[in-house]
Amino acid sequence: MASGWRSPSASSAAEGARVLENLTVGFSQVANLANLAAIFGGVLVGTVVGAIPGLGAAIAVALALPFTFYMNPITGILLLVGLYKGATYGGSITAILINTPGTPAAACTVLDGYPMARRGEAGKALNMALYASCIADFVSNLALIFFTGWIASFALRFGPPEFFTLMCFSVTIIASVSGASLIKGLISGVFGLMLATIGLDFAYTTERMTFGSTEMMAGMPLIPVLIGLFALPEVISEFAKRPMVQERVADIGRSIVTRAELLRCLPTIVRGSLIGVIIGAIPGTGAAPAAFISYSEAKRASKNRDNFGKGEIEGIAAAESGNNGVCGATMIPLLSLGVPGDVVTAIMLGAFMVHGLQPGPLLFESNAGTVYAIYLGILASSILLFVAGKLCIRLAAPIADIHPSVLHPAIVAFCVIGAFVVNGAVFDLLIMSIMGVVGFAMLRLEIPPAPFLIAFVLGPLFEENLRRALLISKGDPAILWRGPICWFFLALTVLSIVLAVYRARQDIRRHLSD
Amino acid sequence: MATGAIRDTAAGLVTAAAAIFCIVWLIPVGIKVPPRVPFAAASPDFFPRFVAWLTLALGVALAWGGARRLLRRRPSEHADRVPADHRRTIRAAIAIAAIFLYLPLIEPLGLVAATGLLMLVLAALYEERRLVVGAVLALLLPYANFLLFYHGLGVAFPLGIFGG
Repeated sequence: MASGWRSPSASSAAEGARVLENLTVGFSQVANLANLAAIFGGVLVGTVVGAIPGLGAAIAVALALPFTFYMNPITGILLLVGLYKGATYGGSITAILINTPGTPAAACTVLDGYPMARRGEAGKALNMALYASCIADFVSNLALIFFTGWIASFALRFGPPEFFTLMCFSVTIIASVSGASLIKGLISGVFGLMLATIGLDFAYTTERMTFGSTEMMAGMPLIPVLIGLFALPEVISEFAKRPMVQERVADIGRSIVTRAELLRCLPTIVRGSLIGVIIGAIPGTGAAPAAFISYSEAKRASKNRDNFGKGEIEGIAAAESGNNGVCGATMIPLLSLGVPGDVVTAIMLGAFMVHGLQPGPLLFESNAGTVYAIYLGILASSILLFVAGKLCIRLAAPIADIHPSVLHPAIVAFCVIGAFVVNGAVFDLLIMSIMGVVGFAMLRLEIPPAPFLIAFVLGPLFEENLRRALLISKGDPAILWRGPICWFFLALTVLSIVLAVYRARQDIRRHLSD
Repeated sequence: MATGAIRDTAAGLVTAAAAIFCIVWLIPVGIKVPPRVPFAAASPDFFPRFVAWLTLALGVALAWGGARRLLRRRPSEHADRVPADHRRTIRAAIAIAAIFLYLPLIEPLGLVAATGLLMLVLAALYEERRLVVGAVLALLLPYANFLLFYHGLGVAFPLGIFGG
């Protein structure tokens, strides 16, 4: 025993005791009214925001981030998680009621949701969307809890070279969020990387492109950049658009999903949840593909496949379980490795940093209680999503009908106050306004903003780990492929780039043949 | 297609110009490099320079792709162009101008009054307006935030005309 050897049973008993202790600490941190109110408020507001076409989880989380600044970190993070989940479900409301998905992830729900609404079964469709969303969300949360700790314990072996190769792979997420043009996505990404270099150098503490501005020494402030890039351009571009003729909001109609219908859809929901979990855990994939894959699998397996697209309730179950199954799973790479799985988790990574927490393996060492508190809060969010969803079904029609001349000035008010309150500085509002114009120009030039944000958040980690690794090796780049973990991530990076280039070439060929 | 090609060429050229600006002026002037750096990659300007060169390469690639498409286009593609709606472009420009004009008004008017005014201006820009609802919201929303942050959380707001 003196050598430190322990029997497997003793080791697993110690591990079990540690988990139990962390659970107790986590429970004591999360079990209070403020946290429950934050989760419930988050899912409720998220559902409302998700139900408004043009807005979505990214804007909801970006606008709420400054408000969490004054909260306890757990409360703040849980509020953002609630918003994320609520907005993902909320997208289905307008998909069903006005044939317009509130979020891209709900695009698949339109296929059967709107035909049901036209038959006078909007309430039933909304309820099935809610049941499928809550079950999938719960399954996804369980996957998050079971897999995150395991991956994080493996990642504890990482040094700067391993983290650098992991960051290389993470940056390739940019390729999958680039939309139609890979090159424009990369341009957006390099602008984000460049902006992230402003501030004091981490090794020599010399100023980099601050030009004596004390406000910029700590780097470009995340929240104004985020709000400017995501929320403001959406509002500005509304003024440049032709007013759309809005579809008539369908009546809620029949609301009850029978037990037989729910049981019939249950295998589809479970399958969709698992598809969502697998796709969500892979960085850069997203909820929309998960919904479509789940839908096509359900259609393939269903006895009622001919009714899909004509108002089949199983179609709604498949689409909604697919897109909500992603929510918890996207947080697996975030919490275990510090790698965001999509734009919303990139914003959440920023939120963790704002609260002085660095997601990744060390978070489990230094703040295990916080992690377990977040786990428990996330589990509770599935139940609270159900309650908030039930409330919102009643209010669905007026939400979907909010006029843009009322909505968009209100969003601008949240933007400016949100950007101001973090540091109490008008300088931050200037940054937000400049980023708003940059974001609007990017929208007009069809340059996606998501790669910019991902690169902006990951940029400092990328550079820091690269330079740390090279400082360890005294400048010898061979350290960057020093072992199997580095090889694994470099291989994934190369594979990811090859796939992205292949996909881009296919798109160009398809575009030319069209 | 022709509009897309022109847009890509312009975006590529702007990107390349921004990269050249970084390489030639912004990085050399804006980054102080310590006298004794053991190797190039340890220098504070290594990563920004790398990113700037990458930006230049991507900008040139985008401009080149756009220009090639522009040269190959068929004459009939001119007909595809959708006429620009200048009125809406002007409205977007006014919205941007309003946001920038709002910034110097924060100190003299105060955050609450300036934000309410900004909301009213933006609401008035819509063709179909709900100005009464907009005005009520312009009063209530900034004030509610003021109560929450100033009185609730102790954030210092510029009070402006309400400061006296």
